[in-house]
Amino acid sequence: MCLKNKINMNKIPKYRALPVFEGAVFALLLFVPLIADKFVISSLTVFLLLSMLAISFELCWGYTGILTFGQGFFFGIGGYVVAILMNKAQVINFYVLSAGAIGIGILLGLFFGAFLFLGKRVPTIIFIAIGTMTLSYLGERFFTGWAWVGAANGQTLWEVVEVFGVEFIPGVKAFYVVMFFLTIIYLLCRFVVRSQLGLVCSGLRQSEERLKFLGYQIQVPKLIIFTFAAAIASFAGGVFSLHEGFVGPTSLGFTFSAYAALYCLFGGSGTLIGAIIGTIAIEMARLYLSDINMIKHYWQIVLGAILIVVILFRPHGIVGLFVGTRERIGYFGFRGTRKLKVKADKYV
Amino acid sequence: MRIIEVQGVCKQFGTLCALNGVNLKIDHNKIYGLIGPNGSGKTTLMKAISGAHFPDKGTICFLGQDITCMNPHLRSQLGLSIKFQITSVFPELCVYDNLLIAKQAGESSWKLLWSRSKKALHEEILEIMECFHLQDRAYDRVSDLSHGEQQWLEISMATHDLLSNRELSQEQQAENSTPSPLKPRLLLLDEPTAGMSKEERKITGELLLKAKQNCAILIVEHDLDFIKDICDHIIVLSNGEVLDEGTPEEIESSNQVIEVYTSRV
Amino acid sequence: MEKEAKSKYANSVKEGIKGISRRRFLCNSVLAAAGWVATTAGGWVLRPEWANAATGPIKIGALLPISGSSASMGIGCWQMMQVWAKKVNDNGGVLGRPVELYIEDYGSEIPKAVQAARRLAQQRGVHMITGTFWSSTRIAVKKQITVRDKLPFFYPAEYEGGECTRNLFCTSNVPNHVANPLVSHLLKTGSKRFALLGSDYTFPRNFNKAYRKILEEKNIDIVFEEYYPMDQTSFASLIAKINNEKIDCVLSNVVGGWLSFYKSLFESGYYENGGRVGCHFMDESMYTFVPSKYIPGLISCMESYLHLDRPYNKMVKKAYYDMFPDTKAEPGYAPGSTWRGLQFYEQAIIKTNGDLRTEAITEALPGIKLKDSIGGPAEMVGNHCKFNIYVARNVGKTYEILDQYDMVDPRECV
Repeated sequence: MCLKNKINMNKIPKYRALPVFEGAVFALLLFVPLIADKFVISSLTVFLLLSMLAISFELCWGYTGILTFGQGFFFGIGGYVVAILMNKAQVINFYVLSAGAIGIGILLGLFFGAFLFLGKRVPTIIFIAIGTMTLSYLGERFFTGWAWVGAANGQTLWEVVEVFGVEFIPGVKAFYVVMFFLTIIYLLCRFVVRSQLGLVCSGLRQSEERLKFLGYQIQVPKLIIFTFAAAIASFAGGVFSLHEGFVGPTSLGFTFSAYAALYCLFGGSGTLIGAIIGTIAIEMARLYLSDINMIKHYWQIVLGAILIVVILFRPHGIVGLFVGTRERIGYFGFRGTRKLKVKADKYV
Repeated sequence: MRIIEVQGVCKQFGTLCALNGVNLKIDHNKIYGLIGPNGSGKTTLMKAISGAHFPDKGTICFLGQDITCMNPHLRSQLGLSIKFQITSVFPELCVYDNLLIAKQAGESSWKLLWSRSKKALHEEILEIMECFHLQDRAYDRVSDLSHGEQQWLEISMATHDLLSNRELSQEQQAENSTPSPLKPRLLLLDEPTAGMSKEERKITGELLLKAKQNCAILIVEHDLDFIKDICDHIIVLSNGEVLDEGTPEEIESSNQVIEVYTSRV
Repeated sequence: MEKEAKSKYANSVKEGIKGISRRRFLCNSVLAAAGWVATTAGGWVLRPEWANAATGPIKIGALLPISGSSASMGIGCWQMMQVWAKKVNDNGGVLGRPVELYIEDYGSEIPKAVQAARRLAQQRGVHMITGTFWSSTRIAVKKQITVRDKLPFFYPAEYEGGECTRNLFCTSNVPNHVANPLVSHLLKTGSKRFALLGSDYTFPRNFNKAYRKILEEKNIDIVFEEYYPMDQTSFASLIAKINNEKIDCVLSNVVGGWLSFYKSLFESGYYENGGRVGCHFMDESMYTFVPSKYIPGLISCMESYLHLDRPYNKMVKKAYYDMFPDTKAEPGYAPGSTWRGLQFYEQAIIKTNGDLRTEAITEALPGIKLKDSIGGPAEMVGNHCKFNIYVARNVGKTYEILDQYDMVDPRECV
């Protein structure tokens, strides 16, 4: 039966498209400020911050199968924490502000994640989706009525903070600062999704039941990913409010959560780079479609139609045009050697 | 050694009584066959033992512990491993990754994050694939496998290291602070040979005979020849109750069993 | 020669404004040639040939919603800006420099408003920005405009007061303008039992606070004061309470669900029983939101009305409808306020002798008096305006002026 003393395995397929694609996108982004004007650079900085929001959604849905419409809530909460620390406690140290944003993301991610995932019954996708959507809605309503934080008017962030010795105001320097943070977040997320925890997340996405019967306490990795995603969204929201100089109840609402989903679907669900590409593509469309005279009064409808068509005909998004499914899913095993061999062994 | 004891288990689905006071005992180092006509409650009983649902009445004790209402993942960690009737693997992952995910069930999330077990499990996974003749399909996606190969994959995920002679080093034993799923104590296999060719069934039978040396196995099957060849003990269910049980020879000559099988065509 | 050139220019402007979709206009447009595809209909005012090429045009940015939920107000303001620009350019521009208008539509979305403001300043290179309606949008964009891009920002909407940001100028009414005239009129014409109502956000609360102050000073009891979420759609229990408590005057700042509110109030027989409603911000342009029949005799209090019988108002209204004969966007209070802001800006430029730097404009604006504007003369006091306030009553399809208060002081940011 098992008497072979040498096993030749198929060679692991070489990954070609995805790393090249990722590298190309990042290289292009680094190059853009050298040729673009101030407005384009500032806009792109905003897009990159929204990409972080999209990445947080991608971690949950694209990798782990958690359909969350609450990323907007964490995004807005991060902004509010920064605004409150700045306006009420006169904190202008960026590191303290961002620690506050990340901290609140972790705390609230754990709290709501525990509520959603750690119940006696395993929650369904619909339960999570509606639960998180409700969270966004309630958050917006709550902050709309809370006078201490400006109620419906929101808050202006007047102070200028310094990050790595540069003033964080829209422009080239702020762009590269945000690029730096995006790169860190991207690499962190890549590390997580390519790790064995990422393999478990992949299993959760495909067959949660099977994982349960293999012995996994499936709610724990879900809670970890949900909290990690919440922290990313909160950090992004905090930096977004510093960049834009403003935070309001709409930052917490369902709109941002829905846009996060759209960015990922359009860019390519199941890849981190898809979240970035989708964000930039949709935001550029939002920016420039209203310039077209023929559709200027209903450009939002046109944008919606474009999104529907793309998602219907390219369910794997823009990234799906360049990266095959196998490469998108990836391989998680040990790749110390290309040809896999095992020592000869005898089985009794 | 008594592995599992099922006493008076009942399960109702609306007006349908799927299980009605089933009693079952399973001992170590034996293969038990669970047979019966369609709708007799075989899969329901398997699900009750695995934790897919909880019985309305009765108890299930596994290694002396009452697991009647225990969550499936905890049962799995105690050493109860299942292969479902409908093939349930991870279709987007390759064969290698399916086994990798199965073998890491006992690891903490922190260890999984640092992928500490990946290298250590490499050779074990190779051995398992070799045993189940999947070595040439290591990096093929499961959805590209034949039905029989998918069955083997799922069985291999359930059996883990039961077919290995690999001894854990002292260091590895010390690391396994939780009950190791590496060697399940009870294998539940629901129709493991469905869709397999004759040759594949033969190989599967040989594998299970080897595996029983390290655990107990409970198989649900419709292939009575397969059951006869490998089982030490057969339990016959009919209408949610144990109709008869005994050695294959006893069951073959049991009038009750013959009547049930011939009357339900 | 000059007259010929001006005439040629006027024709080209008229053509340009009306014929934005025409290829010839696009070809002529400097910015269209730079690659910006037809930014807006009528959004471009051609640089006249007589313009001083050395100093260039005065660029004014319009940060307005011309799509989305606030589009009807935005379109009115945008069209009013074009009427003003044409009038100014027909008269030789400001100190010989023509005016160019640029619009960025923020589609009623706040994050897009910040981006749009940035675009006006950084890509379009405007010297001044006017626009936004909701206070939340104003607060979102003010840092970008007044601090980061360092531009004067003219805010045309009436709002709750308290905006003292440098470089930001508010050209419509605040609570201190309207509270006394409105409440005084209601009291002297017989109202005794008041209910203060509003949607639950700062604007209604601030106005009601001003009303309360005056009522309490006059020892008038307020029977109840309540606020409702912006997405409230049913006011049945409120209407019942109004009728049960025999309220004879509702001071309303209900914005969210206002059609439902006013319709329900009307159908409950409140008006037949002698009840009245005071809502300061209602004018003719609001009929598209709340039909006149649901608000019979509503008492309003604003700085101008569409049918105000004043030559200046009539002149502007005629010019507006001459340029936009088919428009459904009426030149209500917000377009009027936009016009007023543009007048102030023009005067500030004249005062600084053409110095468009924000510091110079900001220094010049306080104290500027407009001999006449929409609604009457106006004066910039700090960063708010003194102007006439009118108390009016809704009658049919118009507002009948009942009272006039001259040059009311906003008493803001003192």
